[in-house]
Amino acid sequence: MEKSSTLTILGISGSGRKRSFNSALLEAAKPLLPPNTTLEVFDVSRLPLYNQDLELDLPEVVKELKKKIRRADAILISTPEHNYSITAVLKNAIEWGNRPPRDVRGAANPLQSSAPQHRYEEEREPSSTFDRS
Amino acid sequence: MIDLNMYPINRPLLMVANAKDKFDENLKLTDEESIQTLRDVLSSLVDWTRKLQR
Repeated sequence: MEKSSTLTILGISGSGRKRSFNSALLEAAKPLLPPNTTLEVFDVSRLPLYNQDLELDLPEVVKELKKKIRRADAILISTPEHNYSITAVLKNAIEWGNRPPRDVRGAANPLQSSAPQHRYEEEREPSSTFDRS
Repeated sequence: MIDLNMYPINRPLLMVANAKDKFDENLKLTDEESIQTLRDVLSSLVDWTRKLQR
């Protein structure tokens, strides 16, 4: 039965900062998960800056991300707001998610594992304490 | 995201303003309202994922 199957959520933080509140939010989500659900966090700040040249020989860390996206049923995003938008770290992860084309979407049913849901969970900090490290 | 045919969930949305007041020194979320919204976010995400997988 669908209902009883375990659902895998991939958590992505838009900040690579060691003491990131957004990464902390993903940790805070773990004990609050509904039954039969797991949450695994992947650090996308380790990804190289997207460049099409790299597609010829995908870096290991990119392959690792793609594998986790394919396995995930849903994606949970927690990101700071930088300049009224998502962070460069998060945007970079999204570029890698859809390049090369059809890499993640694959041949599977697009409504199943290969089309994870997206969820923004934003955190705003007063600009005076905005730590962009 | 559009290219990947993802289905973003718009609400509930958790916004944590003045985050430094809502976590303790060990970065544990302590704000009850945020905790409840986060719980709602997760149940909505799981509900929708199960619906889309049918």
